[in-house]
This record gives sequence, C-alpha cells and structure tokens, in this order.
Amino acid sequence: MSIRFLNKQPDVRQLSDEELVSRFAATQQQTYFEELYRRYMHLAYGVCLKLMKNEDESRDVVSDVFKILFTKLPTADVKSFKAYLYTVSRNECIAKLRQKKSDMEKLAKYNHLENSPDDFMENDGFAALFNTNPSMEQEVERAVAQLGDEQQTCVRMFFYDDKSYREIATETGYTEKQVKSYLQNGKRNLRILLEKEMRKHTA
Amino acid sequence: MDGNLRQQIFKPTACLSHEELRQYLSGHMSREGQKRVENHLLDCPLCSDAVEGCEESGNHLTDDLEDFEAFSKKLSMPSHTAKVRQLQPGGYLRQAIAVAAMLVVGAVAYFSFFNKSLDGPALYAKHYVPYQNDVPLAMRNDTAPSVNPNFAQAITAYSEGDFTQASSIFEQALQQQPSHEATLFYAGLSNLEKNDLVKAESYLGQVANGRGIYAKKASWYLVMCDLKAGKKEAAAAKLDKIIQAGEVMANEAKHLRDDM
Repeated sequence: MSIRFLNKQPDVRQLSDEELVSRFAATQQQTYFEELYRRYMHLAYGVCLKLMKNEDESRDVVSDVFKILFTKLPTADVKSFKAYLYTVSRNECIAKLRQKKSDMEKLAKYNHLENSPDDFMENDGFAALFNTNPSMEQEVERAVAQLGDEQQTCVRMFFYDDKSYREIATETGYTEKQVKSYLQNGKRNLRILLEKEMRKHTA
Repeated sequence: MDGNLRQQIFKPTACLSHEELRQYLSGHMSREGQKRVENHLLDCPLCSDAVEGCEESGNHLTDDLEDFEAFSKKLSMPSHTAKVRQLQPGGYLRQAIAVAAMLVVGAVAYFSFFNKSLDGPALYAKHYVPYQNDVPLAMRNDTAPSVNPNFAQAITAYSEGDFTQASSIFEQALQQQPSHEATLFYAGLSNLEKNDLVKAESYLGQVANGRGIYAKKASWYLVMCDLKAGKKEAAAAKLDKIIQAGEVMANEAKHLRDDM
C-alpha cells in the first residue's frame, strides 16, 4: 500500500490563497505552492510582459519571481498573496531592467506604464456591508451623479447598460484604455463617496 | 435606480484562470464571462496589467509557459518539501541513502544558488520591496478638509511611481508641517527611490527616532539606504537591532542577515 493513502491531503483547489500560503509556511509541502503557481503564474507572466516587453525575458523573470516566493513565503508577512506577487513581479522586472543599461529607456517609461492604480480593491467586506445596508439604495445614484462626465458616462454604460469596454469605446469615441481608466477611477471614487456616506449612517 | 448597479458594482470576483485569460484575449468568451472579467479588471491591478501586457505584446498567452513540474526542477528543495507520493514503503535503507544524497545535492545547490555573498546594492535589489501606500483612501482625496492638499497630491504621485514629483511635493508639505510623521516617512521613501540617499536617511532617521506608527518600518528602510549606498556593515548593525527587538520587520531582517 502506498504511503499516499495514509496521508489524506486536503483538496488544495478549495483553499484560499492565504490558506495555501499559511499551510505552505507551516508544512513546506510543495503541493500548496504548486497550487499558487497554477493559479497565478500566467498572470505574473502577463505583468512581466507589460514591463519587459520581451517574451523570453519575461519567462526568466517569472521563474525568478516564483523562486523568490518559494524562499520568502515561509517567513514573509503576507496579507494578500496576489498583492505580494504583484509587488515582487514588478520589483524583479525593474531590477532586471536596471541591470541592463540598454533598457534604461524602458525603465524610464515605467511610471507611464504604471499609471493604473496599484491598490487592490478588496470588495468582500465592503460588499457585505454595502449590500445589507438599505439606506445605501439612494446613495448610489447620488454618488454616480457626483462623478466627472467621462467617469459617469462610462460607469452608467458599463453597469446600467451592461456594455463592454469595446462597446463603450465605439459609442463614445474614447479608446478602450481610456474607458478602462475612467471605469477604474470612477469605481474607486464611488467607493470613497459611499464609504463616507456609510460612516455618516453608522455614526 | 436599476438594481443591477447595486448588485454588481462591488461584487467580489476571482482572478482570471489561465483558460479565462486565454479566452478573454482571443475574444472567445461568453458575454457574461466577458462582463465578469471586465468588472474584475477594475479592481485587480495584477489581472489588469496581465491582460494589458499580453495585449500590448500581441501575445495571446502561449501554451508553452513553464508548467510546475519543469519549474520545480529548478528549486533546490530539502527532502521534506518533496511530494508524499515520491516516498514508497519498503526499501527504507535505499530511501534513506537517496534522501541523504538529495540533501547533500540540495544543500550544495542552495548555497551555490541563493547564498552567494552579495554586495550592498545586490542585496538591496534582492530584498527591497517598495512600501505600498497605506494612507486610507479617504485621506488621499484632496477634498478631505483635514488633509494637507500637498500631502494628498504627493501621495498620489507616490502611488503612481512618480517619485521625483512626490518627493518635491512632500518637501513642500514639510515646510508647513515639519514633523508630520507620514510626510517624513513617504518623503524618505521617495528620496530612496530616486536615489537621493542623504535626504532619504535624514527623513527616515527622524521617523525611526520617534515613537510613531512608521518608526519600525523607517528603521527597515534605513537599512535599505545603507545597502543602496554600499554600506553593508552599517546595514548589518541596524539589522541586528531590528532582530533583537523582535518586532515589525524582524523576519525580513533575519532573512536579509542570513544573506549577508
């Protein structure tokens, strides 16, 4: 009989990222790290592609990123795995670009590339509060009305009219990138406005 | 009001799987799937940048990304990290010899790969993690009455990675509030990023010597200043204090100390 049958392994696919991290830290079992790799390797690769603009270099950097995670996760204070992965991926890309003088131009463009907000908007807690607070019903519309024109147009078309980025871009004349940016900033501003309202209601 | 907005706007959504990313990039995704993905991209910089990276490079996510099996061969793992299925009952002596051999090979690989003696800047490159802006969202909004508008503007520049602009505005804010802890801390970090190490040390030093919420973190970033300046011994002395205190950043400090 194989030892495998004596060790009931949990279904790692059911575990949250943070559970995987803490179990990997506690047991050092590769199975937990493998699941994190399976969930996120392709995303880390995409992030590296955005900065490195080179497929082979991006593959190398991603490999380095996961080597670092393998070493650091057991001792790091990780509150959100994906935020940690995102930070390590960007740092590794920047470190590689810094090593190569020929890539200073890419490095100089980094700020421009990073113009999207780098805060992860964790909706779980907020959604729970928001969706169970009936007094927020009217506040959403008021908050949307306070957004700037571009953000308001995109938010209404995306959430009310159920249109995609591309459809909004076609109808408004904005580029898809602009649409995404207006939506990201609009949603962020909505949350700030609604958080203020919720604080008033709970005060 | 259409209930759709209320229901959908702050709905938690999961990151994109490999298959979802591929389908989204190729345009072969159901309408419902596409909307879920596009809503998620608004909240998640990791997925958002991944999609943009693939789109900008014209790479619709190739199939030949390294799988875990191939990747794991690059890791030098001690035996207890190996999968359980690799151990079979019987032949324990043979297994013990194999495990011992793996340990020796693993240790040699580990020390040759991870434990090279690195100089200060190399250690900095390996251990430096930019400090994520933790100023509450409401404080960043420059319409909030209690917030110095310069600070709000500077923190936005910091979040966007524009450290030259950020440090300049933080310094203006410091003229009005010279001992504002968060401003000193972020001014130090911005100068560290833009390589003005004298200023970085000065600002972070003031924070580290205080008793505020950023004091311990400032001590860690002072170590980063030393490493970036090639002052490895000074960094080691500061690390020892952080480890001895056993508080914030002590684990990171131990890990870095091991690498020295």
